[in-house]
Amino acid sequence: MALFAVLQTTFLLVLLPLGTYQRKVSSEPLPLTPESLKVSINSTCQCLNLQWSVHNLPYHQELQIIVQIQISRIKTSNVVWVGNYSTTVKRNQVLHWSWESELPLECATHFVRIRSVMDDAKFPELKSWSKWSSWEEVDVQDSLGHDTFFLFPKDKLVEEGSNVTFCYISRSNQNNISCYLEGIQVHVEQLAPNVSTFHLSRVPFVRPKGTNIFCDVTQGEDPKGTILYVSKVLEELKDFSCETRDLKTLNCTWDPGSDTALEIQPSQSYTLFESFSQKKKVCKHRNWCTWQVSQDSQEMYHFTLMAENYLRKRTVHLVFKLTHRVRPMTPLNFFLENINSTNATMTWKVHPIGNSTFLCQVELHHDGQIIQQNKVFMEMNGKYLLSEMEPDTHYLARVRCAYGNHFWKWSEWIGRKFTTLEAAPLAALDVWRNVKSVPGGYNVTLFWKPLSKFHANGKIRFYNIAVENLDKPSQFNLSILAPSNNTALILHKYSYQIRVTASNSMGTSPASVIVISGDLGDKDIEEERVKGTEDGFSLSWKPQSGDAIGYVVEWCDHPQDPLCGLQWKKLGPNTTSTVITSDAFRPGVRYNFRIYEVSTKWIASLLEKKTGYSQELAPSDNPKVAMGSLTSHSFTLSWKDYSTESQPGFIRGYYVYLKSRMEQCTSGFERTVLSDAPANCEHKIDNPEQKTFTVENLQPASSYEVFVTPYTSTSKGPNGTFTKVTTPDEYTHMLIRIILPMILCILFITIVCYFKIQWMKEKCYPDIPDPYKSSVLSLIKSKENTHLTIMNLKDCIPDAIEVVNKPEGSKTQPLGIGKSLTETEFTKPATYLYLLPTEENPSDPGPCVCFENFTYNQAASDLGSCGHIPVPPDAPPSQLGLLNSPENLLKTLEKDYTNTLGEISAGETSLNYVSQLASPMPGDKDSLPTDPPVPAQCSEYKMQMAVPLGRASSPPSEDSSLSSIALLDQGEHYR
Amino acid sequence: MQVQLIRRTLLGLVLGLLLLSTVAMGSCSGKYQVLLGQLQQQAKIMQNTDMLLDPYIRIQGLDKLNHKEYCKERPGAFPGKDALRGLSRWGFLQTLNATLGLVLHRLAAFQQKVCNLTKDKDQDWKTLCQAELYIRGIRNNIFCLTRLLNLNGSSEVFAPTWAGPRTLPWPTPSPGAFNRKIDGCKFLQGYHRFMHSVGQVLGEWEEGPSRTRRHSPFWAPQGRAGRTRPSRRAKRPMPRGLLPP
Repeated sequence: MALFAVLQTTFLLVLLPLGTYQRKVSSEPLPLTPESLKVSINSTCQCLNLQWSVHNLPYHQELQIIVQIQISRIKTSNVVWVGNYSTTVKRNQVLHWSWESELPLECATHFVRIRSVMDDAKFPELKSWSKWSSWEEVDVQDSLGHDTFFLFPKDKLVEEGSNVTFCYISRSNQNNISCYLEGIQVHVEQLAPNVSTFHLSRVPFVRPKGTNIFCDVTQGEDPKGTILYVSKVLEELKDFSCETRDLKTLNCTWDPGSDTALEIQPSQSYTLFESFSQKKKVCKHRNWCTWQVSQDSQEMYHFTLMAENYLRKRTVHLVFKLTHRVRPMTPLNFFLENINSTNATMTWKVHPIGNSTFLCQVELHHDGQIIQQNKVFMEMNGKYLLSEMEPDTHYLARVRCAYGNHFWKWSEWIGRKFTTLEAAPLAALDVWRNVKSVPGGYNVTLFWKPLSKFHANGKIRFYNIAVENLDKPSQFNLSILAPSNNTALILHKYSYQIRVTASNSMGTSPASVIVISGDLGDKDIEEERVKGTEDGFSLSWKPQSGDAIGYVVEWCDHPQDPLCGLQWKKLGPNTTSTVITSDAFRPGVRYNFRIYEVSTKWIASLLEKKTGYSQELAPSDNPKVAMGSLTSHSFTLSWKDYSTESQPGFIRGYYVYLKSRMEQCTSGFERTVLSDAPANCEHKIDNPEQKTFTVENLQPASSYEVFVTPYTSTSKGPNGTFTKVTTPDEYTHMLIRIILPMILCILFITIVCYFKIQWMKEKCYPDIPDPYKSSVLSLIKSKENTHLTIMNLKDCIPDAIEVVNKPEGSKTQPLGIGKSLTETEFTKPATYLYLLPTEENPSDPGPCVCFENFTYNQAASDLGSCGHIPVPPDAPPSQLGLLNSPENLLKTLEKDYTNTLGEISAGETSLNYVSQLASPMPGDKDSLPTDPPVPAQCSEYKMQMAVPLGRASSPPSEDSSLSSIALLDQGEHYR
Repeated sequence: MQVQLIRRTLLGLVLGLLLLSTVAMGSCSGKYQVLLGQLQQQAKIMQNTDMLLDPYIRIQGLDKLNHKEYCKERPGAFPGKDALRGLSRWGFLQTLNATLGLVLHRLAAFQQKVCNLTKDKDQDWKTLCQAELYIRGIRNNIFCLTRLLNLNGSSEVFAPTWAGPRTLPWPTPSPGAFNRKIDGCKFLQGYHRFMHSVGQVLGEWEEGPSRTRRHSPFWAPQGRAGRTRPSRRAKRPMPRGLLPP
């Protein structure tokens, strides 16, 4: 126990001095503790600049230390950034460090403190953090001034795509402050009671005058704002290259990229630095710079091009040997000499570069294409022979050169255009003819194709035509000025040999020979159809004779034009087929081809005819169909005027469409559907020459619609209008057979009657002779027998009067209403007055001729040819008063004669003739006599009387047909 | 936009002809009515904001702001119509000449910056850059009219403007670029209003060079004998605003 107490005391005694030592160390400043920390603000870069020193370094040599920096905002506890800064330090050395704040430093108070630690393995005992320096506060708000609103940062310069934080200080306690970026409101967050911030991400370049950011603080006052200058990003330098043209000056070029100039930032500057010579040159231009080659035979160059603006630097390096960057200057004194039709000599010079040789490239161009290319080594004067050129052809000759010792780049071209001289035409013309027989000879038109440029060898001036009569040796020549390509000749009916040549300024072409035979030998050759394709017409033929020297296919490019556009193709003797192509071929146009065989005597004879379409089309129009032979069961369609030749395809036949109400198609037709029509019946005619068609098996008295359209191998014709057809009734035909003869018969009878009417009149109702005009009178007068005269009726004394009684009920009984007149009942039989009784039997009037006059009333006439109208003798005038007045009488006379009897009322029954000699039929009570009494012994007609149903008040006139009314007056006699 | 372009083109043509009519002849017209008519026409054209203010606003990007509200002339920046009417003809012309000189100076500074910056010159920029020539045309007519009015004995003639290099120093920048933009807008608004007043006052000069004393060319010159350019320290209404760069 005592031992334990001793050990404990000893241990405490050892620890006590150690603790005392440690207390001494801690009371003194540690050697690495930062001292004299000063913090300042750089508003331009929003930087906190720190400055401090380390006085108590234990050693004099330079030591590696790590400084830890802590930055707080608004209050010390709000640490916004902590970081280490490694550096070397000597005793009493003042250290600097800078921190860029995201938030403008004017908007918040910042606090900074630092501490350090030795970062050197040689002093492990100092490898512990020093004490923190005291917090250093930075606040510039008090120095801002007396304004009530501040917006930061002011006129800041950033690169495109940067993130920028803005803040404002408002001392006016305004809460409704709105801030805008180019007029667009931004979201604002409050940082402190009077400080707010807003953040802009990836700001774009807007304009060199900067992006406007402003806040509306007080209504009616100017906005408070700032400008954010957003610079385009300085691009990497591209295409940096240097070269010399004379080994004296280097010319360096590059692609500068976008200009980053702003109102507060000039365009990026370019500086050229050469490492070997340590020379530097500020370039005046944006994309090129010159460098004077040093005179000390510097071979190698190492250039650094640096582009720089306020925000960024870009560099690019280039190392080269001077003689490897030689590009000669453009050759000079370029000439073309000794130009003829196929050759020319070109000469040139180059600017000398020391004693170097040059490699030159020569090119010959024609129509934009290189036709010759060659390389030539030379020293100073170059020469090259251009050969194998074509006569009368435009060329471009040019040359460029490169440094001979080491190829870098060609110089620019130097060249000149020239034209070779002409030469005589190379080939014979391609000639063809068109021969038309005219009375007494031929009309020959010669055609030829212009020589190609290759064969013409210059400008063709004229064409020579030599015509030689083979039957009667004679010849004449013609000269046709170019560019004509045809001429017409009128020749007699002989054989002619025609030679055609072309001439230019240097000579004449070989002759092209053609022979016109005295006998055209036109043959009737059947035309054969060929089918064309997009590639043309494939034609083949059979050789006729074995000694043909060739064949010619002839056609017209524009067969519908009067000029036709004659074309031909010459083929060799062993060719029996060809494909005719032409850009002029159009779909729907029929082309006719004639194949000629050319004999050894250059006589062309027609071999075959072909016709076809490059592409057949649907018929362009439909035929106009005529209708005929219409019966109740059929009709015939005809379209004989329809021309199949003018159609855009070979007509293969026709479709006949029939529409009817029948569900089933008539025989020969099939049900089909047209494009825009209801179901139809269709009949196909396969023969294009058949242009009539009879539609049969139709229903009588039915309506049909019919339509005819042609078709080609492509399609049918266009839709058209259906023609309506109505079949007649089945019996109509028969009726016509019966009725027509009847009508003819009646007409015949009518005509006969018309011509025989005088005869009829004489037979039926001859004129009543006037006794006063009788010839008897003249005889009497001539005999002067004054005692003889005609008895006047007034002088007659009646000897018998029969009174007829008529019941009242019958007065108003209309005649014939529901009954015939024969059915009309009379209470008493009608009694007639026998005014002129015969001596023998007054009651028997004897045979008498009865005559009826229809003039007065048709109704009356209907009673019968000799009807006697009963006259009620006791009818009072009042009851007959309808005719009492003349007006009533006239009205009655004006009545329509077509009135039926039944329509005639009693009052309307106006006039009836009564025979003067009519005698009543005794015992006939009920009806008029069906067999009227025939007056006996009536040798002649008696005076007719009109008997009105009422008393006529007007006196009879002498001329009136009513003169017989006088009888009515007699009626008064028996009153 | 196309109508505006045509309008500007026509304006440019008219102003160009007016300028050429003075410059190309190499000497001043001796006809008072001709000179006065040209000045009136030039003033009428230059009161149009299409000439300066509108392109300025677009170039500065101020068209995104409610510029009609804040882009108002600062009171007193340019002489008012009544102040101009109160001047003698000589004084009026000198005031006008001095004001235009200030506008030219500010405009030239602005153009120099813009012209160097903008490679792809748009129509606004071209209009603004041509405005300098137009104002020089006005100043030439002022010079000629002043010389015509001065033929009766006054030696107070200031020299015509010339289109040589601009050597005047860059004005002291105001606190912030944004404020400078706004100030420039106000300045040009005042300028156009000023030219409107100038046109109205010139319209009252129809009678001819010899008038009452108040409008006499010899009224108001004090202590300027022998000078050929108008003094910037003359005690007459002068513009106080500055066009921003």
